[in-house]
Amino acid sequence: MEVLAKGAEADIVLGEMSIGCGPPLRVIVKRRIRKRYRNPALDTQIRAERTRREARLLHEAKKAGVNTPVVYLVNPSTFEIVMEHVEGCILKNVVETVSNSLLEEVCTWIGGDVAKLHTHNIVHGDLTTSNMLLHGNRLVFIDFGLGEVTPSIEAKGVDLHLLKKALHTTHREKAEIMLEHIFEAYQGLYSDADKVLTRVNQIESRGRYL
Amino acid sequence: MEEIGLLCLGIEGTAEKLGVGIVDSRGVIRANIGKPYTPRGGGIHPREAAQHHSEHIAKLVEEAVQKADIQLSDIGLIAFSQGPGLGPCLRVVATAARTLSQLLEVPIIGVNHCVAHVEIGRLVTRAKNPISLYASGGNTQIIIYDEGYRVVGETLDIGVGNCLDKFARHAGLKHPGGPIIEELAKRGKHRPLPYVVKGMNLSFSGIYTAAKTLLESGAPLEDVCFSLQETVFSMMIEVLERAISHFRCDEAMLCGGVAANRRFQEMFLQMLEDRGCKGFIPPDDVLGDNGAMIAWNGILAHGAGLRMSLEETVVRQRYRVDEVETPWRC
Repeated sequence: MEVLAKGAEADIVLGEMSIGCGPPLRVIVKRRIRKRYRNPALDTQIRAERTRREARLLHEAKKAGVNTPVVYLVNPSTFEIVMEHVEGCILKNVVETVSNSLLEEVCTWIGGDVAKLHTHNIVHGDLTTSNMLLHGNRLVFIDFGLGEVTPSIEAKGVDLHLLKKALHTTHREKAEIMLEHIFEAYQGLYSDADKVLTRVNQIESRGRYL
Repeated sequence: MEEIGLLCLGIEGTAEKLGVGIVDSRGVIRANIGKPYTPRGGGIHPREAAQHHSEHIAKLVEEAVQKADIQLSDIGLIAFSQGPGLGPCLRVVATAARTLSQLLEVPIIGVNHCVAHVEIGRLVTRAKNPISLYASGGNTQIIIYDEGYRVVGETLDIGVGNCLDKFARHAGLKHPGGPIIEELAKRGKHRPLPYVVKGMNLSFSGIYTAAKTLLESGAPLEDVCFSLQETVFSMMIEVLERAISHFRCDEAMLCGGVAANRRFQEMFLQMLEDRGCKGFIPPDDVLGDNGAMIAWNGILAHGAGLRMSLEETVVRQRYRVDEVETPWRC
């Protein structure tokens, strides 16, 4: 099996899965790897919890109308999720090269999708352009391992605050224009958007040195 | 004195520790001494800490000069911690620095405390361009250099050291609690506590509350110390690893007082070994707050042409890392 990527917490392996009589399905196996630095009990607890959580949220997000890979199998005891192999590229790698008009459109999708997640009380927990895939005119969200289901305005505010910070550090030149389109779409689709955006400002102002 | 070039005296005093260091322009630390303020009970009281600093600063400067085996008049530059930190403490330090600068008729330069931690680490470990995990009482940040220092991840509430100290106080341990927790943890077993990582950022305030509750529910103090350490250290190492992977770093460095914890250092090195990234840990005397780091940063800034008028030496309680001009790194 081909290792596609070695992330900070998981190996992403390309595989095939037989389904009845049809041709085998190309799948991704995401396997959360053991961290030697972490106490074994804590390590097992974290990997099992995140595996379960990610599988559940990938499914919940799809129900909310956001594109995510289809989950085929979950095995919390081996810390593995077998899911659909989505072709396409990591958004982070193309932000600097796509045209401004396409980037603005993609940002509108991001804002709309985060609005759908938040409407369904899904907080992603790690909204960065590394966790979004661009596949034709489809945006696919991945890596829900740090997410949670909660109605909390604070949690949603932190979600957006982290997205803002991530864009400012990763795409410094384009962050402002991207955020403008993201927030505009977010406000258009989520009834509590103003409350959350006000909270984002509060979170920023209480930051240690902001 | 020609062969050693410029001698800079640096004063650190952003929080409870007052430090004076003397460093020459080759990067030789000629003196580095400090005096911590110990609260009578409870946490740091900013005004009392400032009082402590103003009582001891003159004596400490004198001792540092003796230790460096020079005359006060040999000092060619005064540097001080301009921020971030506790307002009253910063003002005492800035006043002392201005006085010295006027008295000796030498230039004065204000230094960012967080950047100074990174720069002294680079000096003593010879790391070229490390991603830094800065873990102390008030600060917990991941700092990279990219046309300026940038904080790419940090605590969303309290610093990790603050979390440990608050718990120690609650458990009736002496200040500073970190080293005592480290000792007690050696005899403890793991019990679950909340583990709060958000992307490359962290939150510690909920863990403090949970650790308190765990202790109150009858868990042995050793177990709570062990679990608290394992949890907060794992969280920091995890976000550091995520940042290393995201920014494709090949060097990483620890700084800040909490980084003197040996278990934390062990975890840091294990993670880096598994990742194939080089790790750097400065010795204890320059890990925590110290005057030498301020002096060295003063040398760097002055050498790169930065100058400050007295008006520009106003303290900056919320001085952010990404606001710092760093011409010495270009």
